[in-house]
Amino acid sequence: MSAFVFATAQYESGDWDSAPSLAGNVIDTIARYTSLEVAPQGAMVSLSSNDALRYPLLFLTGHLPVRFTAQEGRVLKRYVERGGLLFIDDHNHDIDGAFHKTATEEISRLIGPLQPLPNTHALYSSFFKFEDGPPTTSHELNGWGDNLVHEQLLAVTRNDRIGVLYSNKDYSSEWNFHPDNKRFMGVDPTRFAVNIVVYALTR
Amino acid sequence: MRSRVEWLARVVALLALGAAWWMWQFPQSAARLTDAIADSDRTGSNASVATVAALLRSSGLSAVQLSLQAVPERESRVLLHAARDAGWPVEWNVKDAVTPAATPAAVAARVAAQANSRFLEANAIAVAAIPRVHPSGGTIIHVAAANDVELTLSDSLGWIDSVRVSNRGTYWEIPGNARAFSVRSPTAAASVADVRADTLKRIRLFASTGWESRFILDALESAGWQVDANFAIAPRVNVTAGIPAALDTSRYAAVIALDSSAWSQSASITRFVRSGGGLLLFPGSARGNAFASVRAGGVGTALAGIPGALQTDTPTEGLPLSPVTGLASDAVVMARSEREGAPVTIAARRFGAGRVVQAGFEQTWEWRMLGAEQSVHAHREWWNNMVQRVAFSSPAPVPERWQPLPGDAAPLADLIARIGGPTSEFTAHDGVPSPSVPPRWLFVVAAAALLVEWWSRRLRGAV
Repeated sequence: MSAFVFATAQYESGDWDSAPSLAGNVIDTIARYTSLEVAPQGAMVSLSSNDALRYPLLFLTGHLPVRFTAQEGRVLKRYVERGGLLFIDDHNHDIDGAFHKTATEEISRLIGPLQPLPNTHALYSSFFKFEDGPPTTSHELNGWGDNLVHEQLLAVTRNDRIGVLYSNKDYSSEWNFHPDNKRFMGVDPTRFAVNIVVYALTR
Repeated sequence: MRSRVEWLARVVALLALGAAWWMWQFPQSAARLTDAIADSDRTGSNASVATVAALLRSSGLSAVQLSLQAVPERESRVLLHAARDAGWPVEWNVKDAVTPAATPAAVAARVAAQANSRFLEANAIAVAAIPRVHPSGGTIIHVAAANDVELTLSDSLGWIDSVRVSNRGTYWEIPGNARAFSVRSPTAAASVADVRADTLKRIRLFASTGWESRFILDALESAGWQVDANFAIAPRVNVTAGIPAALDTSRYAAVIALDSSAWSQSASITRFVRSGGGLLLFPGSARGNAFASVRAGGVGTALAGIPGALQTDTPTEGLPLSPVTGLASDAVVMARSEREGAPVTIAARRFGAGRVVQAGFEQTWEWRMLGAEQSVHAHREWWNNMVQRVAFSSPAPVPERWQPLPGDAAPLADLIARIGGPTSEFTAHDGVPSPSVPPRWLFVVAAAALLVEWWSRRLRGAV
C-alpha cells in the first residue's frame, strides 16, 4: 500500500500558494488521529500536467481571480470524471470576492454547477462527527470578507460521490497556523480535514 | 351366495380375456399419438411405445428404415425411439449413402461410411447455457460444432449473432434475461430453454485504506456488484462499505484479498473457497504463509511499470507487477506480461469446490486515473472480469425428473442415443414382429378370477 500524499494544486492564474503551512498541519492531523499511512511531505502538482491525476485528492486555494488555462481545464475535467476529488477553499471567505466568483464560474463551466451539500452528508460523519455540517472557522466573522457564517459547503457530485467540494469557510486561513501553535488550541481546527481525507479514501 | 361369487368370478375372467382380445384386435387410435409422444418427450420415458407399436402393426411394416438428409425433429426422434422399444428394428443412414443396386458391395460400403461420416460431422452440434454471474445477469452459451460451420444464435425475439466456428466450438456472453436460445447451422439446430437466473451474491473486500481499495469499490459498485468492506482508519475506528458479515457462500460470491489485512482472516477465507467461493489474491496478500495452501504460486520480485504503457492498448504493462512465480502443480497460467522473461501476471487454480485467481498487478487505480480515454471503463471491466472468473454460482437445482437423453440441446446425439448410429447397409426383415401383449394386469385379473371360482367350487365339493 502506498502512503497517502496530501497534494496542493498549482494553477497559472491567481495565488495557489497562499496557505503554505496548511499542508503540513493537515498531514500532522492525519498522522495524529488516524492509522493511515501518510507521506510526511505534501506534494504540489500543476493542474496543467497529467501528474495531477496521480493524486485523487487535490487541494486548491487562493485569493485572486481564477481562470484555468485550456490545458488546466482538460486535466481538471478528466480528473473529476475519473474519480478525483478537488477540494477548493475560498481564502477570501467572501461570496462577493473575485476568487469565489471566478472559481465557481470555472467549475460550473468545466465540471457542472455547484450545489449546496446537505449538512447530513456522509462527509460530516466519515471520521469525526460534525452534527451541524461544516465546522465554523474563526475567520468567517473577522470583519474581512463577507462577514457571514457559511452554513453549507457546495459540491458537484458524480455517481453519488463528491467530485468537487467548494468552501467559503476559509479553512485556508484556519488551517494555516504555525505548527507550534496547535498545542495551544482548545479544539483542533484541522479535524475536518481528516473527514475530507477519509471520505476521499473510502467513498 | 357361493354360486353368485363363482358366477361373478367367471364374468370377471371372461371380461378380462375379452378386454385383452379387444386391445389386441383394436389398438389405440392414431388420434392419441400426439399426446403419447408429447408425454413421452416430457417424461423422458417411452410412454408411447404401445401406441406406436399398434400403429406399426396396423401398417404392416416389418421394420423402420430411414434415409435422412437432416436430423429429425424432436417428435420424429421420439416416435422412432418408441418404435425401437416396441420391438421393431429401426435403422437409418444418410441419403447420400444410398448407391445404385449394381454398385459392388465394398464400394457401396465405403460410400456409405463416408456419407455417414460427413453427415455426422456436419450435424454434430450441441449447445449448453449457463447463467452469467454478473450484476446485469445474462447467459453464457457454449456451442460445440465442426470447424468452419456458420452458426447463428437467436432467442425468442430473433437473430442475435452469427459466427464461424473454429477450435470445434464457440461461446457467446449474452446480457439480459432471455431464457431460451437456439443455435442453427445450415443443416442442424440445437436449442436450450429455461436457463435459470442465478441470484447475485455480494463481494467481500479485504484491503487497507488507500486509493486502490477505494477505486476497486468504485469499479465494482458502478458495475452493479454489492461490495462489503471494512477499512481500519484508526484504532477502534473503522469505516464500512456495505454490511460486512461472516464469510459464507450463501452471502458472498467472491473474496478479494488485496493485502496483508486479509491475513488474519485466512482460515475463514480458505474455508470459504473450499466450499465453493471465489478468491482473488494479489501480491500484498499472497506474500507470506497465510494463503500458502490456497494460492496459485509465489510472489516474485517487483517490477516497475513500463513508462507510458498506461496510455497504450496494453495498459496493464504500465502497472507495477510482482509476478506469480513457482506455480502450484495444478495452477494454470492465464496471462503473461510482455516484460522481459514473460513473467506470469495472472494464474488460477481450483481449491476444493472453489476457484482462486492470483494476479501480480499492484496499484491498478493508476490505470484508471492515468490511462487512455476509456480507462475508467477498461479498469471497471477488468475488475468485473476478474470477479466473474472466480465468483461462486449456486449449483443448478436437481430436476424433478432425470433426463437421460440429450434432447434438443444436441439433436444428433439425441437421435443416436435413442435409436443408435447410422448403418452402412439396411438389414433385410421378414414379416411383422410379434405383436405386443395386452397389459399384464388383465391376465392377473383373469387368472385370479378363475382361481377364486375353482377354489369355491372345490370347497363345496362340486366337480
